[in-house]
Amino acid sequence: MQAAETGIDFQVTQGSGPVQLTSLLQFPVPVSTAVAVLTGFRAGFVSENGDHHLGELDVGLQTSIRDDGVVATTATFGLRDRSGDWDDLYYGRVDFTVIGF
Amino acid sequence: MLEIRTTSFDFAPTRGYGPQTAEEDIVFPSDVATAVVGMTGYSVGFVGEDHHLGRMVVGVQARVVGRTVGVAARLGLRDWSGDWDDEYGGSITAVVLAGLVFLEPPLPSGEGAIIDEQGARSATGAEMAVHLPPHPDWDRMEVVHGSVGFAPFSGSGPRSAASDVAFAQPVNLVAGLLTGVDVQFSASDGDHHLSYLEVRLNTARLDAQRARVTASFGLRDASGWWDDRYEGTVSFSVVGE
Repeated sequence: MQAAETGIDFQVTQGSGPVQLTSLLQFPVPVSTAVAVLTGFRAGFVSENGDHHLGELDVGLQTSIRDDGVVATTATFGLRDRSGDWDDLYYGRVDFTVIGF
Repeated sequence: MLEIRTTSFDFAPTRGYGPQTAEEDIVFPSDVATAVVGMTGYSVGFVGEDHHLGRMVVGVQARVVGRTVGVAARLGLRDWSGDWDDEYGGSITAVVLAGLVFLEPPLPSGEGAIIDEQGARSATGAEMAVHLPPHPDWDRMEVVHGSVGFAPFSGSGPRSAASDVAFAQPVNLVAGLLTGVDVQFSASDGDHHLSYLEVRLNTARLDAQRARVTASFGLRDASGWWDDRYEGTVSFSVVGE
């Protein structure tokens, strides 16, 4: 088993959601199976625009191994109230451990 | 042998109680020696409208019985008005890492066999030798569980607190997994808008048989400076190998 703690930052977003970003990781020893598991998250509305009711919070991870052995983890993140359509500026981070075998 | 399975739980729009719970049994091909479940994602929200944040709960837990790992999930979201009177729902996705008891390969037909000290199987009556793994994966993986509680607090954030966990056997590598989040603006102070929520684990190996899990947690609205009391519990599992 090999493991690495990492995370993906989501810069300020407005107008769409949830958004996705992908992180690549190469273990010292190639792995045939890998999975990313949550170790944390941060979610915020941009304070200059005030706080908001909570409508929905989304955090997710999907993991795959590319042909070159690199582990690709795609994180999903979204935060919104129910007024408008993702019209409030939001940001966050998804933290995770990638475990490979 | 280690096996990985994913599962997901959908929590239909509900009001009147919480947190909601759901269970699923995952059956493996042989007995499970040890297993751990971790969250790979969640979605939680009020249905059709938004509300102040009072309390938010997401979490998973595993129970091993023979070849089965029972995974229990919980999800809840409410403000502090009424009693879970606002419709909420969501989903949780999770992964189970299971260390399976090694399945012995079938014996040559009608023959007995001898297993020597090195684990080499010598078949009688047939020229066949099968080498069993000297250190099966399941024998090396150990899982410990814990949680960090944050008492009602205001004035600063995010706050950090640590919990040390001990393994029965020496481990070379540790990995912490988030298994549960139960956070709230303290009910006595009422609910609030959401400005920022942070939950984070950092796991470090202290020595051969101990690891330290440091949890960070913060919850605030945008008025004042961390002036609203918040509290919560962060639950985790640590895999050691």
